This record gives sequence, C-alpha cells and structure tokens, in this order.
Amino acid sequence: MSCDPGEPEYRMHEHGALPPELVAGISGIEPEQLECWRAEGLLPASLSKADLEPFCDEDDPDWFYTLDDHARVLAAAKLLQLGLPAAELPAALARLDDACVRWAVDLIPLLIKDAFPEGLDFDRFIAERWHEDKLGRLYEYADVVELKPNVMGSMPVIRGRRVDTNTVICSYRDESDIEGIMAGYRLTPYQIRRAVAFERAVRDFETADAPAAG
Amino acid sequence: MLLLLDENIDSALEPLLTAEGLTALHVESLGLKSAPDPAIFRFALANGYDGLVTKDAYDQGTRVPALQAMRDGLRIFQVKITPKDQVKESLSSMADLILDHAAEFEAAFASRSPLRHLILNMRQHRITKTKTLPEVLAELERLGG
Repeated sequence: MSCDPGEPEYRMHEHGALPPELVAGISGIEPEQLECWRAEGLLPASLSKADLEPFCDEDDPDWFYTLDDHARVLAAAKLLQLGLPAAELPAALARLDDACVRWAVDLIPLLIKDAFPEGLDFDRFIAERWHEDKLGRLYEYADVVELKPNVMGSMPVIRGRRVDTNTVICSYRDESDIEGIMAGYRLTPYQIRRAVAFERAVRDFETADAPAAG
Repeated sequence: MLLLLDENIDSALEPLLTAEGLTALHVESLGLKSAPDPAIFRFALANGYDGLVTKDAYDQGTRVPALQAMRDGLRIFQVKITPKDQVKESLSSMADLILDHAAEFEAAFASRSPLRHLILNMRQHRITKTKTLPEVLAELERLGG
C-alpha cells in the first residue's frame, strides 16, 4: 500500500492528531485511506473503522468522499496550526462548509476569509503559500481552469464552460481517450491535457497504474 | 420524460437516450454553455424539463438555488463518479444505468412523486440515495432559503 505523504507542507504529523470532533465530520472512508491517515499520525490510534462507520454513507459504507474529507481534514489541520483552539474546530468546519468550501482546501483560503472575517491572518497565509501549494497550482493552470462560485457548485471547471476538471480526468486513462472526450465534451486536446495535469497536480493519486500526465 | 443533460455529461448520451424513447437535450446545444447553476435550474423549470442529469451535487456552492429548484419541482439526477471509476464511467454504462432503472425514473417523474434528488452510483450500477420534497423543504428552512 502506498502512503504518499505528498509535499512537505501536507505532512499532517507536524500538526498533531485530530480531535474526535473532527473525525466525526468524516462521511465516508476506505480502509486503506484510514491506514494512510493513521500512518501519518492524522487519526488517533484508538479510533477504528467501526468507530467511523456511523458517519459513512449508509448505502455504500466504503464510498470515500475523497475531496470533501481530505479538504475537511486538511482544513482542520491548518486551522489548528494557525492557532484555532481545538474546541472550536467543529463549528469552524461547519462554517467552512456553509461558506462553499468543499473541494480543495488549498483553494479555500479565499473563502476562509469570509468565514473568519475577524480571525486569523489569512492574507499572510495565502501569501506564504501562493507559489508552493495547490492554491498556486490553480493560477499555474489558469489559462484553462477556473473556479467560479456559482458554476458547478464552485468546483474547478474548464474556463468558460460547465465541464468540471474532475469529469475530464474521470474520462481519461491515456492519450487514446482524448478523441472521445473531445467529441463528448467539445474540448480541445490542449484543454483536456491541461485539465488532467491540473487534477493530477492537486490530487494525491495513490494508484500506481495511473499514467503520467499527458 | 424530458431530461436536461448538463455540460459535464457526455453529449453522446443524448442520442443514446433519445433512441430508447427518452427525450434528452444537452445544455450546450441549448445555448447554455458556461451558464451559472441557478440559470440552468431556471431554464429547466421554465421549459418543462422533468429532470437535470449532472455530475454535481450542488451540495455546497449553489445549494440553496438547487434546493429551491427541487422545491419547485425539478428532479436532479447526480451521476457520482471518482477517478477510481474510470472504467465504469463509459458512456454505455451510464446509458445502461439510466435505462436499467427506467421504472425508478418513471416513478420519480410521476407528478405526485416526492422524490427530488437521486444519485446514480456508477460503481454499483444502481440508484443509491434520494432526497424527498419534505427533506428539501426542511433543509431550505434550516438554511434560510
């Protein structure tokens, strides 16, 4: 099993284990992901999958809401790092959810600012991370990818379209799929390749069989 | 049954469903390319569409407009996929899923049906979750919509 800790800024063990209140907000977990998080020191060792199952999708307990959960966990870790008292985490996460925060926590600082107007120094937070994390990645791919609050529920989409980049990467296995994606979604090969590269840049793909970005 | 296919649904699904007796039109061919979510909802409701097929849950960013549209009668069919489902996200499997559950769709479209939100689970090839009108109303009230 691969437990890629990702880039240095995402090493959760630096931020300490998450309190149970946060874990209670996780809606669905795959066993291997749980092990990864535990190996990273992200989850208290005392919690088992059975403890977390009440928060999973009851129809599909192994369904893993990768982006939502990862975003929530990472958001919590960062808020703790920024000095938010642990006891305030559940309420803070609820406020983030209501503030249209669902997809990638590293795009979230733009929205966190609204959720915590008098709180933490998010300008500094953004400035420090601008060139080194996922927030910066959005700008790196901004020729093709954009994030609009009222389009596709604020998921990243192809610029000027309602085609989210998740859809593109879910349809893409290798270069041979490009023609079908072009026809199905009216995209250019460049848009497709950039969307795939963007998704891969901001996600942690643990699957070893995922081909390199085209 | 008149379905609106969102821009993140493969447009080749349109003729596949039409061939099976459903009426499905794609957002892009209707001049709604890049339209904001609320505009899509308004268009669907104003033009007599029974349902919107999309990949977005509208559960955060445009949750209130989506709930309002569902309150006003729009059914949202959310196709749920993850990168792990790549193989199953083929066009034919999506069409098969919709056609294999024609009876559930018919039931959802019945004018008195309280169903408003259905999830098409590509991984399990079934409809896994629904939101009913009372749940929509309760959530709207909670959100002050």
